[in-house]
Amino acid sequence: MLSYLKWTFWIVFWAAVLSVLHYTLPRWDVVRIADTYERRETFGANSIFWSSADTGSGSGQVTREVFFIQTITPGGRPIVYRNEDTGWGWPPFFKFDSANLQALANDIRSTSAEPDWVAVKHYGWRAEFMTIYPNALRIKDVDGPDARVIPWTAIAILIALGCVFWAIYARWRRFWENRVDPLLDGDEA
Amino acid sequence: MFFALGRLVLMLLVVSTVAYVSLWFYARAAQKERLERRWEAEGRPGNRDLFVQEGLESERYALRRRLLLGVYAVPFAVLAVVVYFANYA
Repeated sequence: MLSYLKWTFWIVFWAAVLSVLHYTLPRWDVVRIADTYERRETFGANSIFWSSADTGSGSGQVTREVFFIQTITPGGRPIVYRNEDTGWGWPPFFKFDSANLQALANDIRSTSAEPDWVAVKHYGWRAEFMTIYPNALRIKDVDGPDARVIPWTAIAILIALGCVFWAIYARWRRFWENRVDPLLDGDEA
Repeated sequence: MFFALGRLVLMLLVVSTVAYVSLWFYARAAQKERLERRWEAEGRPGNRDLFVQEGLESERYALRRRLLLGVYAVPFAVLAVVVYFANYA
């Protein structure tokens, strides 16, 4: 019984950690930008998947204009990004230039007849039933639809996190072995 | 905007201070153990507690400088660099 509780706890814990990382770490998509638009969104239960009140504008409002970027993957699948400032809040990308990014996205729209492939750096998930969108962070040119962009930011963050956790875990283990286990064994050492 | 910035700075300061205090006590304990081992290795010169005490005292300021830099200065510098590259590069 206790082992079931233990297993459930660890599964829930690691699922939570992995989903936070999967949501937050930036990734790249190679897409063609079809169009951009701006729409007034009213936030409800899905509000934690949107930015908080825009940098510079008032707070306490639940309806706000949001930039969107409509794109198509080389395989023909649509991906719609929102383009919102993260400001000083979470996740800490410190993005304040959503208007600049929108101008850039507008400038490099292309048609399926003459596609201009770009890579979009983004974080977040697309969930249709909750109306949430990944947030576009950066756009850069790539050679063609088969280009691969290595997510260096995510790799660096994962390595740094791994180092921190390993450093703490190793010390914790050593402390436990040296100070606590001898006591539990009944040794006086 | 400045309310959000203030909140971020406040939270960073709280987290940094917790890290500073924890690292301070951890590093002092590690220094103490190292000094005790060195006292053994050097052939037990004089009083052990006095030896350790003097060693700890002489390393106090170097550790404080390193910790202040690593825990407070570096994160804010990283923050500034990230803000620059996210928006202006």
